[in-house]
Amino acid sequence: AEVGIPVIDQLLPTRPKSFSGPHAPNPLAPGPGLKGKAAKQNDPNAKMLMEAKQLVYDYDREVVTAVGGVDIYYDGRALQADKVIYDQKANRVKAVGRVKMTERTGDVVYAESMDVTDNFKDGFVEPLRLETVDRTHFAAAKGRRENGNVMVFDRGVYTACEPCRENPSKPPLWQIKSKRIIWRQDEKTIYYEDATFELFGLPIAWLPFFSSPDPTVKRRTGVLAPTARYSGDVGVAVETPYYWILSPTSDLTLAPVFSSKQGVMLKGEYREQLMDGAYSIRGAGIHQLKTSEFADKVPLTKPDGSPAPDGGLTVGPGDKKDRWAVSTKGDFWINDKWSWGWDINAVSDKWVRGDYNLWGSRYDATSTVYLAGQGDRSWFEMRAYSFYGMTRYDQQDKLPWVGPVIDYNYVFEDPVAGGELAFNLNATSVYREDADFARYRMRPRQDNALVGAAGTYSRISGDMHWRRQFIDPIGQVWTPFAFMRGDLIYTDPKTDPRMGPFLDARQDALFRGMAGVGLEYRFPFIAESANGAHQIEPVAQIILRPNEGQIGKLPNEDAQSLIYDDSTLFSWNKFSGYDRIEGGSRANVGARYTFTSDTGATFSAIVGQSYHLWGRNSYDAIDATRTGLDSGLDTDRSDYVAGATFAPNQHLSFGSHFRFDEDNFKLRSAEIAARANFDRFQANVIYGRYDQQPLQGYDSIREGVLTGGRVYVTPDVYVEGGARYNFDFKVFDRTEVGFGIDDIMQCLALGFTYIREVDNSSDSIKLNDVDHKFLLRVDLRTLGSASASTQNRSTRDNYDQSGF
Amino acid sequence: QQPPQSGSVTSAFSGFSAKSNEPVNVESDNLEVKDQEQAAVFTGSVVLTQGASIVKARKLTIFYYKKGEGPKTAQKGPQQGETAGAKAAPEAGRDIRRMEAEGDVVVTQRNQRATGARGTFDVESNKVELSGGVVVSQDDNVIRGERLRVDLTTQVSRLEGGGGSGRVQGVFKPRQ
Amino acid sequence: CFRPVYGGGTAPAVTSKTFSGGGDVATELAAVDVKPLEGRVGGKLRNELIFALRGGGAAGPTAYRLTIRLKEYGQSAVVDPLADIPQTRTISLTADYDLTRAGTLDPIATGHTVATATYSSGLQRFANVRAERDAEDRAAVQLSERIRARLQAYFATGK
Repeated sequence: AEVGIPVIDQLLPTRPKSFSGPHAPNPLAPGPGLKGKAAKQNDPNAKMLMEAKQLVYDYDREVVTAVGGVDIYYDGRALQADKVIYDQKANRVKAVGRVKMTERTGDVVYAESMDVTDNFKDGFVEPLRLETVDRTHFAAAKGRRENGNVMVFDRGVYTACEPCRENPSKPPLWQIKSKRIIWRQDEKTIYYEDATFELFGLPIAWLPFFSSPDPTVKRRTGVLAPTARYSGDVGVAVETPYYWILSPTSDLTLAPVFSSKQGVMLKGEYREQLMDGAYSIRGAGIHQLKTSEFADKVPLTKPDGSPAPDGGLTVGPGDKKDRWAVSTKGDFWINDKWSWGWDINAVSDKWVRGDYNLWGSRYDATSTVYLAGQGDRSWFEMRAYSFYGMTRYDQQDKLPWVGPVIDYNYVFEDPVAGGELAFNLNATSVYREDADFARYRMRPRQDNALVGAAGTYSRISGDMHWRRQFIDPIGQVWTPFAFMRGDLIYTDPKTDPRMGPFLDARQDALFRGMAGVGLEYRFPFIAESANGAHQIEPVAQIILRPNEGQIGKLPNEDAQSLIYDDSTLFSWNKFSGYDRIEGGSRANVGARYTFTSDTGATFSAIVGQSYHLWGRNSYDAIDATRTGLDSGLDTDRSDYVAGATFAPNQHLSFGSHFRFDEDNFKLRSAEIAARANFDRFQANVIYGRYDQQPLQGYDSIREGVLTGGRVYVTPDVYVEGGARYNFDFKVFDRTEVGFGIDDIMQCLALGFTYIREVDNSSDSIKLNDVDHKFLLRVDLRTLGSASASTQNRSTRDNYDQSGF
Repeated sequence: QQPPQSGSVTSAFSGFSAKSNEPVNVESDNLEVKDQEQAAVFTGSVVLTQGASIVKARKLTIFYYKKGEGPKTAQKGPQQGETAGAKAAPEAGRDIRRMEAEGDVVVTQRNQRATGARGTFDVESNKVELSGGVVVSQDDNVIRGERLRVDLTTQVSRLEGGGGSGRVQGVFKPRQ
Repeated sequence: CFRPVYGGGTAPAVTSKTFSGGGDVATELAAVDVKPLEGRVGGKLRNELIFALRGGGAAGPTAYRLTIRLKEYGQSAVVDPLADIPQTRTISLTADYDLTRAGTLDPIATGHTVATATYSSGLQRFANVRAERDAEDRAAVQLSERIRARLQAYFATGK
């Protein structure tokens, strides 16, 4: 994923790869190295071993004739035939009858008659059928072998498909028939002259002359299979990548994209692997010919001149002629503990990646630089970020520059006072040009959460905690703990009247401290059952602490999200970041039930509630981002929370969280996630329903479901489908259906996908524009894979989106 | 007439073909002559030489034509040369009809060598047969089989594997 | 029927019931060595599990080894179709683990468990990054508690 930014994930679980033809392999993988198959030089003094039922020797003509199941082994090659005539004087070996010759490389030649020199370097073979060790097949009426490394097939046929067992005469799925095929094993290239490509027996393409790397090649300079794409704005775009090996550890891919409407885009990627890491640089650029095609992006004003309702949105690329995208990524190991790297992206505008189907996420072009180290009990990470939002509602000056962000988490290995001592450090410094407010249906509103404060905000936080577990004779577990934390904060908000009600609008440097002691009590009970064990464990926790300071005076950058459920029930500070700290005394009470089976299955359930005892309830306080309000913790008796998870084996997992109102048990939030990951069946489903939090911009219930699944009907044929539905907007914003056939006859893989998704890059701010994408992918083993996709947009008039 | 110099395997036997008229000399530990069978039996590390060809064996039986009869072929066949070390040896000059060697038979001539358990040299049919784990070697070429039949007139030798499934093996050195 | 996991209590038989005879469940748990895990989330899970097993005490002689295979998935159930930006994101961690007696290879107990944690996300990308980090930590804490429960059950019952 892009640097921890939640990328919009695929609907469908990842698919195990079928087979891959020679495409631009990743040089970051360990070096290719010459596998054992390299043809070693011929051994000059090799001897020829001949074995047969009968050996007839004619002295005058010096001809040895072996008859009856003849086996000849010479310099790594093996030849079998019914009869072999070896003329020593003329150095010729003529084999007749069910001839089979196995090359050193493992390739096998079948023929009726073979007349070669005795070092098997030159000669004629009729008819010739060759099966390489990579399961590719050549056949020809007449074949010639020249100086040991060139095979010439007259009227030859090449295919990578296995012949059909039942009736081998049926033409293979695909084959290349050509007047002459020349396989130069020294160059590892196959040349076809006057070739026709046949698919399912039908001639599809006539190719006067073309060449392809021979199957033994894993990484080779050369043309890669083209891909074709059609979309309304760009027209037909054909990309013909050329892969160029510069050195054993670096390569360059240049891919001109010829588009019918916009001219030529040049794409390139340079990759290099060094001793301690690897980096890559990618770029793409085009000078558009028909820029007006993109004019339908979000206009600032309506046709009648009045400002468009969403005037605040940035206009699309509009008249921008030159469009480009650049990315560079590198990861390096300093030693076995420390590593550093970067992932830097820049784009000319928000829409270039989507319009030209470039690499990377369609939603952010985030850049980051990092240094990270991991010790036995510690973790250190230092990062800097620059964000570039690419949705139509993003405005760059509302996204912050963040740097550095330092995290250091350390746990002392040896006990201190018999217990565990640990400390955490975090330093964060954020600068933002323009303030950003929570939105409702993507409309900014001034009256609720300031999710992005304009100005500079820096904070250094350190916390330390100590805990120790005691077990009393009757099995009760007492865990006293203590913690303290200090934050040094410098804030310099910009003078912006809109931010007034959210924070102190003046520059300030202040300290916020917190300290607390507490006790956790557990009393686990266990009962054996036939195939596992049931455990019930009441848990109670009390934390005594002063109130949280500076609430409502400071921005909140890293603790905006607060989802109260059973996963946060027993944490001492339920906020998700350092910008807030839970204050006041609180008790958390719950009961946990766990069933564990001896086969390893685990079912666990928990139910509990949290009580604000004394002091100020941090979750009921108003801060810049209104975090905590309507979260279920903002009342002295919190909502009830419950959760259950079940993992019978490593293929299936199920997790759920629920929150109920503390008075009327009304469902406040629910979440169910399930995943299946078998060889022939992969599926995942996730449903989420979260109550309104109007002050944070969520006026209606956030409810959505995403499901995706793939079934391998047969070991090679799969059907897949996925959909995502948003209950608030009542729309399937993305559905995907597809099927594919891997490995047909081990030489062909087909994949078809149809994607229907709500278009949110066009001028419509409603949801009635829908994109339809059709993607076809064909993989021809050893030749390469080609893909074609088309995309068009349709408008649904009957869609009445109220509230706009 | 000189045997072909090309060093093919079977020239090792050319010495015994009907065409060569060099005398056959035999040495052995002891000799037993059987007049009524017109045969002489040499036993005990027998060494027979004729021209450049040498035959060694543990036992060699030579059958002669009756006095006055000679080989039907016009040419003179091999005659009995001196026989060293044996008392009542057949007189020199008698025509040999057939020879049978048994026990570690080794036939050599210059760089060719053939070995086997038993060998028969039939001048009449101008054929030689060696059998019983036959190994023929010449420079780097070695062939091995169960029975070797050499036809000295056609200069063709046939080596067969023993019994039904017996295999013949040959190792040859191709000239680059 | 139910009895306290950590021995003690009225039934003296309970103390000798622990599977391995000799030490009780707590000392057995403290003798489990957790093999290091790569990455931040792995390190967090290991730290939490070490406290859950040793209760803050010193590392005793290792009698068992615990190997954990951790996998992380991320998915968004609620996505705002207008901007195609996820409004919630759920991190799920799955752990498949094997307990082996020190010095031997074949596992004497295995386990599979899962934990999920969700956070709100929006257009502010930095807040998303930090919220995801917190969700990973919460899921890791849940995993450590469930793995301890499984080991507790094993040492208390032998299954």
